[in-house]
Amino acid sequence: MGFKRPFDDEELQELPFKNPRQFGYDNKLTRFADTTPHGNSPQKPHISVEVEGGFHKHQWDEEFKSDALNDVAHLVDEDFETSAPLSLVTSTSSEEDISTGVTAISPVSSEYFDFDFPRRTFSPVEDDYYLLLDRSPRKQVPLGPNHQANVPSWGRHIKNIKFAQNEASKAADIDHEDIKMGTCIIPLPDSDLSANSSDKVGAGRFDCSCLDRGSLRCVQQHVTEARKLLRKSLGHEKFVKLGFYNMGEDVAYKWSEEDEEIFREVVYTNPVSLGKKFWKHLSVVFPSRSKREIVSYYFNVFILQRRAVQNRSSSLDIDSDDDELCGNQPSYKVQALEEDEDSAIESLADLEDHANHDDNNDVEDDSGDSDGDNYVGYYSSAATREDYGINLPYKGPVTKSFDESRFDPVFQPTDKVFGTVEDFNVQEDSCMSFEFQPNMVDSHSLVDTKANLHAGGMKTEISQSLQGKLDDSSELVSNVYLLDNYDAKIWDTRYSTTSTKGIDLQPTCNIIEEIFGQDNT
Amino acid sequence: MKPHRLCMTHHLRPHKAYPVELAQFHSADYVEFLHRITPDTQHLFSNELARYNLGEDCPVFENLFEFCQIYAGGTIDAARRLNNQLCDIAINWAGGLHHAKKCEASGFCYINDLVLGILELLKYHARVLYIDIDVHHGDGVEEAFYFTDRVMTVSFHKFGDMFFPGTGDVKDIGEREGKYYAINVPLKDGIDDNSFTRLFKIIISKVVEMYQPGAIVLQCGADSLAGDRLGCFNLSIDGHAECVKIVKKFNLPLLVTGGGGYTKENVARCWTVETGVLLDTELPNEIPENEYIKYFAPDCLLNIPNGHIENLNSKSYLKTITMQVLENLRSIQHAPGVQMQEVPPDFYIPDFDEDEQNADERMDQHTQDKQIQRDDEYYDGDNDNDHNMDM
Repeated sequence: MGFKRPFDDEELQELPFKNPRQFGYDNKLTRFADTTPHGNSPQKPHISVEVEGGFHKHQWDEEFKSDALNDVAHLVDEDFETSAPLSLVTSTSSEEDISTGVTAISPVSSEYFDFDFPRRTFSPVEDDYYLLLDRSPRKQVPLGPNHQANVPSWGRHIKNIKFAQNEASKAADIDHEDIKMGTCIIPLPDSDLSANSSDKVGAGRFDCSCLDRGSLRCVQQHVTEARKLLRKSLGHEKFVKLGFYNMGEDVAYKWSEEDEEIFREVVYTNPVSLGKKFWKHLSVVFPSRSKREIVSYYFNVFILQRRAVQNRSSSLDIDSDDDELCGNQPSYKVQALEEDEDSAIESLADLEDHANHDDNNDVEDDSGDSDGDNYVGYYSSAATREDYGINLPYKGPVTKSFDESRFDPVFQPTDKVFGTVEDFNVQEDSCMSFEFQPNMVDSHSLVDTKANLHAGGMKTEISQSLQGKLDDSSELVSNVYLLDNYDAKIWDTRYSTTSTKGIDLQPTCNIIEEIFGQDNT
Repeated sequence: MKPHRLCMTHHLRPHKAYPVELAQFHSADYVEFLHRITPDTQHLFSNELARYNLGEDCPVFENLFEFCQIYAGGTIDAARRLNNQLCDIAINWAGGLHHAKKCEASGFCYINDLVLGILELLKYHARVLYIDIDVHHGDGVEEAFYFTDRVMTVSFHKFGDMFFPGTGDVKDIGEREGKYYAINVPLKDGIDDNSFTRLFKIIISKVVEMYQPGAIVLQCGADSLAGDRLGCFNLSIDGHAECVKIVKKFNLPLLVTGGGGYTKENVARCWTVETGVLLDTELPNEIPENEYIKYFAPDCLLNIPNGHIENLNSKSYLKTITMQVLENLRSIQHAPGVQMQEVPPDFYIPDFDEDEQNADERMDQHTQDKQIQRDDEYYDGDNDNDHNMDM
């Protein structure tokens, strides 16, 4: 039979309540010697009152439901297999009991006998209880700020236990700053503060305080500010990594006017529709430019110019998929200069020289940075580019004299089927994502540009369209303006040479493949 | 998106944990002190040594901090790999130092890599289950998460006789929000394979079913083996490894660490076998020739002899403990939508005498319920149990 502890009245009287913390716990090293199978430390002969009385009952009430007790009672009939002498010192009471344990002696002891179990079977049961109770005083778990770890709450669902399926989606919810979800590069915009709510896209900036609100200068200023702000919040490194210096205006800066003209010429004289591959020719013509640069220019500037032109067209027949639509567009700026008698043009001419001068300077700056990997070095001087950009609006004043009526006949309608602007952008994005940063072109703004075309002054519309599109490539603007200002014939001429119908439409993806199929760099 | 994963892999090589990472749990001054202290200078800092419980049980040795950085970094990286789903199971046998506290060392443990690993897992999982089969109570981990329900700590350990560390009573169940989220299974000397694995299976099955953790951390302290210098259990390597098998079956992201173990050849054997278990590989019993072969003499086998010690854990005792644990588990809020079969009490607690059939069946059902696929955009379906091991 199992060991039975005599139930002694004497032992009831003893109060061996000890602060558990006073017990020195042998460290592990000394246990070395102690660990025999029956490694019994000196037995504590007395029973703490808590065991007998209130603590015990309290313990059972706390931890055991009554059915559990009954179950235990049912187990009584089993033989106990213990053979080692057991000390009957229980762990001291839990924190709640410490204060009550000592005082609860006498009332408790009577309660003790009110247990369900008849006295006779008490002993075996008692042994069972004692088996549960350890021999050492119970050491409490230390609590407090110096002990517990700082566990962040799991979003809003700290109390709700959800399925693991939801955890992945929850992991994407980074609205809460206290959840450490790893390194956040760009925080999600708070939906409450969103100033760019989707239903307002394309409406343009309406909250700026510029006197010439909507003007080219205004737009440029705000875009520049936005870029600066973005660069500040992201940090220069990330700004660079995200490719902000690879898009929009900055790309155009790296190309001189002459280069741009040559580029245009090469592209239009080697139309894909005629089976020619202008990419090859471009590489030949610009040996100093890497493939990456050429393609970047093509998509960031060249095509966008075309887009801008087409978008401003009031014609409904424009086919944006036709890459060869705007045929030869050699420096129509020059031609425009010759032809327009607008007073603003004279100022333009003056400034043009200035610009060319600047152009050359910047081209020289560029030459050392034509290597795409040198961006960081390049960008450190990018600030001056922005300055340069601000100078450009000298072309802007031209717009003030813009006669809207001249705009309409400018664009030669074509009968090409129009892909949607969004598709165009999507294609571009998908093709470019592995090398270039996606265009800043905002499809919404492009679409809306068309709608807004007749809404107000041309200047305003173009400004608005430019906001979301390029980083205010003023060259583009200038091109458009000049284009619009001047003799439609010029435009028509260019159109007629190249507008072909029924040609195979090349999605830009194919173009990319074409380029990079050829080019292993 | 594999490239992303590869990038992550590239960055997730085991690294020496930075002090700031250690300070995710530990107090900054403790980390700082560990960093600064050396055997030569420790005599100058007797106050701090006492304060941080260094010098006796936890001696200051050469390159102590680097040692901590390495094993903690291993566990943290293991957790990160699991978070990024680069593997299903990550192992760091060098980790598992479960006694270390926020502001002090304890029981040869200086930095609690388990807490740090769990904190890392908590970034991606709502609930993490911690299981500790070291012969000593996993007090450091329990204490760290005593107030929270986001971590459920379950420890099977020797309790009583003033056995280190002295905590781990079955009545310790957590506090505040963490109440009922700490489970302690105090045991007596000499528990054997059958009793232990049965107990383990019943309790852990129930815990996983009720708690529905997103990830599991398993501390495989080998001092619960028979013949351990400091331990007093009577488990064989197979019995110990059986627990690992049981946990692995749940198919949840699993972080396995080492822990205690003071008879080193047995420790090596044990973790070798368990590595095999985790890789679903059966190892031959003969230990191949190696530098340390002499430690495994004379048999040079993976098996270890059973200890001839008496099992002081009676069936009734174990039953009572089980009941108490399961009773506490009832108080946990059920995961919504889980099909809980409200079983009447007599069926609820399986009799110890019954064979394991019922438990097995139930577990399979549960296991199937828990085949939770992660709806992650980076999940490319190559989850064919590629177990990558990390050290």
